[in-house]
Amino acid sequence: MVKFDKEELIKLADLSALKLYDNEIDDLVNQIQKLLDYTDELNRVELSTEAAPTRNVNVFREDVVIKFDSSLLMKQAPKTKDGFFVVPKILNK
Amino acid sequence: MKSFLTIKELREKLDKKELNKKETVNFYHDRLKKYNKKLGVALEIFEKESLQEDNNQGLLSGIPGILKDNISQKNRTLACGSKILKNYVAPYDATVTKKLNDEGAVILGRANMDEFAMGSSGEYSAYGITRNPWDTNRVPGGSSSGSASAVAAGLVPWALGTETGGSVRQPAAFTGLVGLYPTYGSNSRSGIIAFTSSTDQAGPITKTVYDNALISSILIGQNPNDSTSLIRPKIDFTKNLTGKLPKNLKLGVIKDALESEGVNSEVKKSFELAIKQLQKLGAEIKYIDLPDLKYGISVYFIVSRAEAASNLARFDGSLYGARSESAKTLKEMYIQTRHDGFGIEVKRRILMGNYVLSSSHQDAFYKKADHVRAMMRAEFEQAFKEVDLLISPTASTLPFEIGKMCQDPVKMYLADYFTVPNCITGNPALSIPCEFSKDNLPIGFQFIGPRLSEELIYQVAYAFEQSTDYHLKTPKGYE
Repeated sequence: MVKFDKEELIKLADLSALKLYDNEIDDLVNQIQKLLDYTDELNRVELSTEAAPTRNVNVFREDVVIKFDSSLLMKQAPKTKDGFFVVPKILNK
Repeated sequence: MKSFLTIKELREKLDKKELNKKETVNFYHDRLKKYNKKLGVALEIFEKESLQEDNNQGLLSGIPGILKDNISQKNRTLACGSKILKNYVAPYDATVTKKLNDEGAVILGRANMDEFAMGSSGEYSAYGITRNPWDTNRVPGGSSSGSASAVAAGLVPWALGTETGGSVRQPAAFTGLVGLYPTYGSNSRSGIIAFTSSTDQAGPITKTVYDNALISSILIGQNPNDSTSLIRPKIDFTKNLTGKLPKNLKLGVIKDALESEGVNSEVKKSFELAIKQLQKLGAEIKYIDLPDLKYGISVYFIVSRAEAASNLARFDGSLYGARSESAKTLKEMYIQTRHDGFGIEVKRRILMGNYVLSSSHQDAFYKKADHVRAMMRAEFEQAFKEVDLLISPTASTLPFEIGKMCQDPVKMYLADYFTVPNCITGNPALSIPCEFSKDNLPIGFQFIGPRLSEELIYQVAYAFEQSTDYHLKTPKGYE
């Protein structure tokens, strides 16, 4: 059975771009551990060779330009300038 | 005007000019406003002046409804029950919205829901809980909580919910209504905020089987912008509602439903009654063992959280939605925006999802779950060689008290035991009311069918409904 601990949770939160309150950590570790324990039953399943996972297939369509007023989308952005999205600086000189 | 009219009754009255569209819309608009404070069903009730004009002659012309807050309505806010999208305005209509509008539907607002459709109770909305009109101390189920509660209280004759693992059928069962999860791909997901893309489907919530069949007939159809939508011929599901079961109908009772200790005794009793009623109508009953069914919850835990973690990565404050202004760096902006915007249930699912997808655990969890999913699909296919439809309770519990399950999320997830498997396999299922508990709480049971069997499901469900009177009951206090 997998052991899920605090260290793993903190690493995951960072990868998921989430910040956790100190008082959330113990509960989350316990709850996720409980879920993982529950799913452990799948390790005891004898995987059938007949029922293999389905493969996804590509679905193609003509690449036709549909006219769309992009200002509707730009209006949703928290910050824009000259038709570009503005985010905090990512490169320093 | 009488409360609790069905779509069918409204259509007849409107066509005979016993009612006019304006008074009908005003009537429901007023009711929604009046009871919204008590029940928390709507996140927004649109201004009367902004509602669709009534010169349309379609199937739903002049008939009001409400859409779950994860379904795009052009130029309306679309918050998905979350703070992270509180200012987001949909730039286009979802395909299902467009289809409903084309038939003249008058959409009165946005229905409350568990944040990002993650929850089975309506308690996880960032904008307050939704209550069950049958007992306001109890949950209406979720995640399509507002949709179900609004229809149950007669505030709208129909609503659209979405379902990923039971989010239409379980609230329908908890509120005494009819709810469908269609064959996966039947209606387009375009314009619906993604949670678990491989199972998400919109589904109607209505008072009767006829009304449900009518809305489904409108929604179904392929959309080239959605590669997971199926090519299905246009079909009117109301045509085959004869009130009779097809000859030699074989129904399979899922054995687990009667043997499992997790099923509430009143739910079990009412399900047994439903079996008897179906036998009386002429159905042959077989008892079917589906040994892989019990893995449904585990597979769902893994698949749904993995897909949710991926789908929700896009909410980072850069292109749309709320942005935390205090951040100085890009990463800080992502983190702070998501911190301020997501509730605890959403965070829990993202964390678990990224865990099972991480390179060191992917084989142990995601790949295994995917394989068991295929086995469950094969098991259903095998069962449908022996019987036409399967039946089981919809939810294993009665509508629970508000606040009671939140402390134990795992216990709440287990409430989806009977609704999750067919979502994982993409099979259609319909929940309809079958009895009321001794405390007058609604109980539902469901028909699960082979892929593309909605027509048969509706026919059988209609025959059952017409031979009972559960669908005629309404909660007190909303006259």
